[in-house]
Amino acid sequence: MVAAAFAAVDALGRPGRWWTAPQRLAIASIAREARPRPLWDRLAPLQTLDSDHGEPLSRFVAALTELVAVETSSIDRATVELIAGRIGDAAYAELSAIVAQIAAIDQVCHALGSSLLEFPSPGPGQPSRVRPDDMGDAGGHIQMTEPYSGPNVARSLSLAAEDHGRWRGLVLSMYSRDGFLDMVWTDRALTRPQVELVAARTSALNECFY
Amino acid sequence: MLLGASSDAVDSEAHLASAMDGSDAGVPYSAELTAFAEAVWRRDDSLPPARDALREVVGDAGLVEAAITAAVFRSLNIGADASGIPLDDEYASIAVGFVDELGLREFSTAANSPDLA
Repeated sequence: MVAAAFAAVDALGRPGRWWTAPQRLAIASIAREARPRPLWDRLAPLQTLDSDHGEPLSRFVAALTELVAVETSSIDRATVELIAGRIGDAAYAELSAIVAQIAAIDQVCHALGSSLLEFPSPGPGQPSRVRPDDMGDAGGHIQMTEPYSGPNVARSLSLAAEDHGRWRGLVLSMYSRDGFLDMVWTDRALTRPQVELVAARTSALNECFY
Repeated sequence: MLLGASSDAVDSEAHLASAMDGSDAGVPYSAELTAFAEAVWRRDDSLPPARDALREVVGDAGLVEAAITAAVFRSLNIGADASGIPLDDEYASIAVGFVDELGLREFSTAANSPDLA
């Protein structure tokens, strides 16, 4: 898990498929600082924000990053259609995969009261802007690997290519490892029902139906 | 979803409603585990005492396991809801048994699984 976390953070300093290294680091920084907002300080509606100007990120992308980080359950199909029209679905997938990686890594640190991992310095280069092959409609808001035989969550951000791979590596190292189908775990500090209770309560708080 | 199945596997009965309302789940140290998950989610002043209380009953290794679980599920929730994936067919037949009981259709993300919503 530690190796997967360091690999994910290190990759933020390199260009991805749709974002430069400074942009990827800016997305990660916003995700790191994001907190649920009080009712009197809500995010401005995305459709009101400029997506064409701003360095390293436009106001639209900065707000979108915060939305993905703390109000993911509010993102519906119409919202994703707006996003895809402004920045493209694959850039949205890469942004979401970065946020998901930072959430996994930082929340462990917060939960344990530990220091956060330092972000790297941004490296040079431009995004490749290459869309992965084998993407199709699987019933979600964005395209993903199709056909696919595993659970939908395992392909959910596959449009993000390498960032999806790093995210999956993190998730697998943190949750079931190779024991997902085993209902009894004997090699852990918590029993499987105890782990699933924490998982279920967390998902309910996030209002995640999946 | 696997709270019930994993409890059945050890001949125990978990109370699935605990996931929704934070009540006693019927698993050992349910109160401490739930309070910790809630404090991690809020990231406020309730976290240090919740962390200490959980460590007291499950030890350092148990605390680490709980922290990793809370973090990875926050991350999985982001992937699932940002992409809008529907619930997998093989899990839908299981979920249909408790979706209404737990009030899960109230979640806006239920719309991503139209066969169940």
